[in-house]
Amino acid sequence: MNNNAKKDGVIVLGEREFKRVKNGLDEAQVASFIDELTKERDKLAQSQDHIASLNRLAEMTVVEADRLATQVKTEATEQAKADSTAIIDKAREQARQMLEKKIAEAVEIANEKANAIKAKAEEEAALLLEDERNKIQGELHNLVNQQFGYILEELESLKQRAEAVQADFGNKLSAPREDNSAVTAEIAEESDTLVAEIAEEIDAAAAEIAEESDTLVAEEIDAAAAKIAEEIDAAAAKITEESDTLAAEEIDAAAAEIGKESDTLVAEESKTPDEHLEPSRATDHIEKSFKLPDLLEIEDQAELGKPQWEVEILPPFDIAKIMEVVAFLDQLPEVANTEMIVPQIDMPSILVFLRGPMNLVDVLQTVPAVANVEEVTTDKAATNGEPGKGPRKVRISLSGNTTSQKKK
Amino acid sequence: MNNAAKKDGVIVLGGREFKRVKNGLDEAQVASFIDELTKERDKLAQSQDHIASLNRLADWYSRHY
Repeated sequence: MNNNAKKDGVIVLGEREFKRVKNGLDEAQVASFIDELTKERDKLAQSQDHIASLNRLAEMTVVEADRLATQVKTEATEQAKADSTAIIDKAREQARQMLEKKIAEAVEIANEKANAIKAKAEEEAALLLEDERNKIQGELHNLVNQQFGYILEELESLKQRAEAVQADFGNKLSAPREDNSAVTAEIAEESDTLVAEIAEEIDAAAAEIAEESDTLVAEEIDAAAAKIAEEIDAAAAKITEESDTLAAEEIDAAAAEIGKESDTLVAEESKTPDEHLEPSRATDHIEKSFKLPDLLEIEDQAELGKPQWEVEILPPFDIAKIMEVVAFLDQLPEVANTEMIVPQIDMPSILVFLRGPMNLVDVLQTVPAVANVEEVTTDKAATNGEPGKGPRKVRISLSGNTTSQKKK
Repeated sequence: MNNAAKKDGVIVLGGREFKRVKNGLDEAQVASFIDELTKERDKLAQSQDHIASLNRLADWYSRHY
């Protein structure tokens, strides 16, 4: 601060003029202090300018950072959209493949069930056909025998009458004129010939009747077989139609379930477009999504589990009454299913699968076709009807076969 | 800047002592100028303090957020 310019009676310190006066302040001290204050002020002002520059730089930096952040955000959004679209397309493709697989499985299961039902129906129809054939054959044999008996009786009567006429004619010829023996012998010969012809005609008529009765029996058997075959075809067509309906329903149900789960999957993936599914999570999701075959298997196991009862049928057998017993059991609400077992050697039996607890012995005693009911209690452990153990056994005899026995 | 304390031949301006001399500077002018400079300095110093406070606040904010 040496910028003090001296004029006459005036001094300049810090660009300010000061007058000289008598008994004034020491110039050197004042100059020193003013210089000190000025330096401090200039230093602070310089610092202030520096801070202002920094502030402007910071503002520019913030603006640039905002611009970069907007750019990065836009790029990230576009990338996320592209990723989410790819994930959704991939999920849809997976869902479509799984849907096709499930449809194929459902169709296969439905076909298997339909084939099983058809085989069972054909087996039952064959039994029914055989039974009807035997029944009609027996009735026709009886009818033919009866008619043959009547005809034989008529022929016998006719033969007796012819013999009586012959005897009477012989007596009349031999009594008045014995000399006409030659004529009598001739007449007797003629009458014998006539009787022989009548006997031949009777035999021919009997043979013709027998032939006609055989033809009639064969025709009636064929007609009955044709009728039963038509009924079997109709039942098979109905079973096929029902199996198709069942398959279609199962396919629809599977498709709806898969579609719903695929929508859920797509929605979940759409919610988190920035995240990729981890393989383990994806696999887990797929496993959760498609449990339909497992469900079907569980239902099959429930339906085809171990039977709780086995009903053995004692001979003699009547297929109509056996079918009546089976039909009665099938319509009970506690009965889930019945299965007819027809072995080659042993007696036939009916396996009964229950939905709920039921005492089959009491129920069978109410069936009209059943004459006698007896529970077989050889194995005590098996009498509980518990899963994993054998079924409870009951032996029945059919009504009309054992009239002497009473229901126990 | 009226804190001039007067002793015998000595005067205090802005916390600084000045001697009186026979042919010296006008006390009123000197006092006014010193008061002006001091006010400018104090104002700049206050602004500096304010900026320092803002700087500390910005540091704290960046550490916590």
